[in-house]
Amino acid sequence: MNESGLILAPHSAMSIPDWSATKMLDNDPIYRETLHKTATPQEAWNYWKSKEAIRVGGFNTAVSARYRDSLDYPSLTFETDSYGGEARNPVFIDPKDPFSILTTNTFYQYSGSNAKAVSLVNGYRSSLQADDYRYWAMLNLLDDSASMGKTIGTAEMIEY
Amino acid sequence: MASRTKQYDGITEYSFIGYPDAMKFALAKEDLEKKILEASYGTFVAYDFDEVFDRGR
Repeated sequence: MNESGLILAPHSAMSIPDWSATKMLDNDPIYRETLHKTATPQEAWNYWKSKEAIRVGGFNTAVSARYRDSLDYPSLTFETDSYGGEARNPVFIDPKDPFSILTTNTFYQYSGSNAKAVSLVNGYRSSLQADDYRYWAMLNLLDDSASMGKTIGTAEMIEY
Repeated sequence: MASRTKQYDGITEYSFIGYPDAMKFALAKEDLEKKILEASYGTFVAYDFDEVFDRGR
């Protein structure tokens, strides 16, 4: 997290690394640079697109920032691997709420610039699957809270 | 998780909650004395940005 309130949270994802790459860059320095130079999820994604870093493999990054004064979606999920990536916005897949995004260990938008690297390890899902249990657990919590008119605060997050 | 295993020797697990609008965040740490190996079950302590960022002062 940086002092603008930008947060990058790493989640591993499945994609075969580009073993032939010679200038592979670990995610830690990419994160550090991004936090140093950007303040919003959109700026962060533009920064990632401007750098030709070859990442170590499949990696989802939950990216969020201040939401009350945000001019765009306050959260994105960067779905990336050694070959490229895409930024998923909150209305791309359930819960389809501009202020709620869920990130787990699979890609839902990015099917792979090198499709084989992703498909061989089943890293991409074109829709929510029955065995995406972590995603369902969070989605059900959101739905239950919404139907009861409750918000999810710190206590609920910890308890869950 | 589980600092007692060799793989995590010397590594401490933290759990993090960000409150960007409030310019705060909270951290919890694993607690081996209380046998809490998952940091998220530890006690969260909140910090203000003014406590941790220099912010030009």
